[in-house]
Amino acid sequence: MSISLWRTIIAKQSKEFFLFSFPAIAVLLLIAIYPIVVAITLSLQNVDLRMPWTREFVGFTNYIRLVSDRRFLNSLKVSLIYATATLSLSILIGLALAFFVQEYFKGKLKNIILFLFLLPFVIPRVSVALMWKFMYSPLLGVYNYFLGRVGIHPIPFLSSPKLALPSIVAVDTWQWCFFIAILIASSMELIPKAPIEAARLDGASKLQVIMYITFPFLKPSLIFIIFIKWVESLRTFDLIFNMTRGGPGIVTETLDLYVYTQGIASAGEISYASSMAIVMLIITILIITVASKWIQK
Amino acid sequence: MKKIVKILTTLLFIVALVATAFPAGAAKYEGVKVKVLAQPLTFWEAMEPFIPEFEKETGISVSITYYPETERRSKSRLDASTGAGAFQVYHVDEQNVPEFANAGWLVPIKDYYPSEYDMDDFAPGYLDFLIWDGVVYGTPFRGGTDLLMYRKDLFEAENYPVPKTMEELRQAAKHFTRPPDLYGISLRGERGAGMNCWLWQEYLANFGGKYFEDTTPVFNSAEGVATTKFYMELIQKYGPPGGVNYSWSAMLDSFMAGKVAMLTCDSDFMLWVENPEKSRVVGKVGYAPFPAGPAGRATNAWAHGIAVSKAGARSEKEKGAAALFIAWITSKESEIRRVKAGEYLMIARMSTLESPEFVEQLEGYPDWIVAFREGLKAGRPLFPRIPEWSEIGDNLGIILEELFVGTRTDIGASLDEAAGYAVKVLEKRR
Repeated sequence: MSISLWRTIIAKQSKEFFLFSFPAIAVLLLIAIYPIVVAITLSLQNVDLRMPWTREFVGFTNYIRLVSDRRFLNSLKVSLIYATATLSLSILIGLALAFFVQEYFKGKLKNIILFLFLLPFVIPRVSVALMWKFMYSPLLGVYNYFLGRVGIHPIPFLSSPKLALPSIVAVDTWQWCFFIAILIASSMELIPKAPIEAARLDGASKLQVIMYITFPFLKPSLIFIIFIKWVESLRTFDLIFNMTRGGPGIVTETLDLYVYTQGIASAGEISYASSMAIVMLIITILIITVASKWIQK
Repeated sequence: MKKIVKILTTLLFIVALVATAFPAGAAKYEGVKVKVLAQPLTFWEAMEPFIPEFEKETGISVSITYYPETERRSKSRLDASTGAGAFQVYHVDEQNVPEFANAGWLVPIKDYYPSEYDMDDFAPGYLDFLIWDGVVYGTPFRGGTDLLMYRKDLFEAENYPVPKTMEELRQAAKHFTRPPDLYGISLRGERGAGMNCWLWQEYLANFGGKYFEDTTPVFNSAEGVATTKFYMELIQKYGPPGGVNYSWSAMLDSFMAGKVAMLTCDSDFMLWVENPEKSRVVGKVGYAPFPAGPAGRATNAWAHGIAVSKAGARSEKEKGAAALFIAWITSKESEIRRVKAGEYLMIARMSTLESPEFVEQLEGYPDWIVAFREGLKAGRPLFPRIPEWSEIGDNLGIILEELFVGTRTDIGASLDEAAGYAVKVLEKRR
């Protein structure tokens, strides 16, 4: 929408329009814009909670420091890997589950299965984290108990630098894929039957029906799910914090966790932490802009 | 005129009635609220039933909010630094007193305590933790030191001697490592200034090293490297699977499940180990003094205390009420109450150690008393009491954990890196 169009829209409005929309705009400014402005201001200062009496503008010093901070670069990498992995896995598995349920179950049975699918999603994240942490335990966990029964030595899932991140990704995928399956299955219900039957009559294979009819119909809701899940994964905290606290070492330390440690938990460098948060914000905005361009095509 | 006299006499009557209904001290703080930011500990649990009594006596209303250790630290830091002041009283530990005192977040409390309050009775090692720059910022209510726990049944069955030195500890750990049913020893491996650094620094002190010489980091010395090598051998070769990054609770769990032969750990882990509801090794555990290293014995000493928040207790009345609450909950009578309730570790007064109630509670564990006393003798604060420590320790903890899990292998270079980071953090403050 061009600026001149905006101008005509605004010019056409009555005084009451601005009066009545004022509360909404004020709330938006207060809860959405204000915190971001504060974060940007903080990121250009040198505020440290341990020395609250100093507050100076230091320009882009914090951002320059980020470039050589191995924990920041690592956490950026971990965040992106984690987000991509959980997103693609939960969408793929969710799709497969939705197709499976839609194909093989009908009526009441289907509803019961979809209800069961909801269960993992409604368990609080912290409970999920502690539950899985216990199940992953090499000495006391259920997986290693069964592995032990077949003679395999205990595997320290969350203590191994190689397995820790995949193990957490598995938990997040477990929690989300069933819910995504429900969302996809319910949008599949809305697909009109006529084009599918017509295609079948014309001799289209099952795969062709899925590729050329079902999928295009699903696209809008899939895009919505991808957005939600992507943003959710990028700012994940509760699961990792309660399972590994970012360890072993910094193998599972996402940006959110590092911001928390450096900003509040161990260092108190609230300005430095804010600069990381701003970088995260920019990355998220970039991803969404690029993705929405791609979708509009 | 008559009307005014009437009102005045009525008012006078009401005032007189209120004044006689409460003792002098009580009226002073009537209706003052004391909100406590605490960490779930049996200390608070044991005292909670008695709080209504205190409230009735003084008119102060007390409420306690609990957060787990790490969250309690960050929550109180946030509460104090932003000036939010939602809490008048903080549960503080050895790590945050220097930081909070330096930032001016705590009230110098000594003058607010009642005159009859006996401060000299507290274990001096514990009290040290509540003092910063010679100023008293609170009162310790519990503390502890470290000792060696071992599976008495296993050691006795083989007539194996209890380790007295670090070298004997290593050999015993090797001897009892019999996977997958039994492992030699569990250590703290998970990153954190108060986690793996806590036990590592104790080994370091036993090997003759320390963190700082004045303000220069020296933990990357030859002693530091030797300690890390020794620690890594124990944790990687003789520890249970996943033991390379155990937190203290995971370490304790492995011992209580009967999978581990020894622990070098906090003296009060005994409470868990001897609890039949939680532990499978009740009655099978022996206690011995912390094994001495080449440089003699050194153990961690630590204390938790209670301090008053400047942001929370703004008025003199609030400060007085908070001090009165602290004086009450850490009084001799309260300590004896806790001992009687079975919380004999939630004490900080020397006189309580001598009390018949204490000796009676620990009947059957004479070896624990010996190990505890030896620990207190050698106990001292082993970590640098500087506000930057949590940041420096956090980084050192990560590097140590990376060494333990194997994502790093060069001990010397890694410790140099941690020391370099410490120098940088300290420079920032200058």
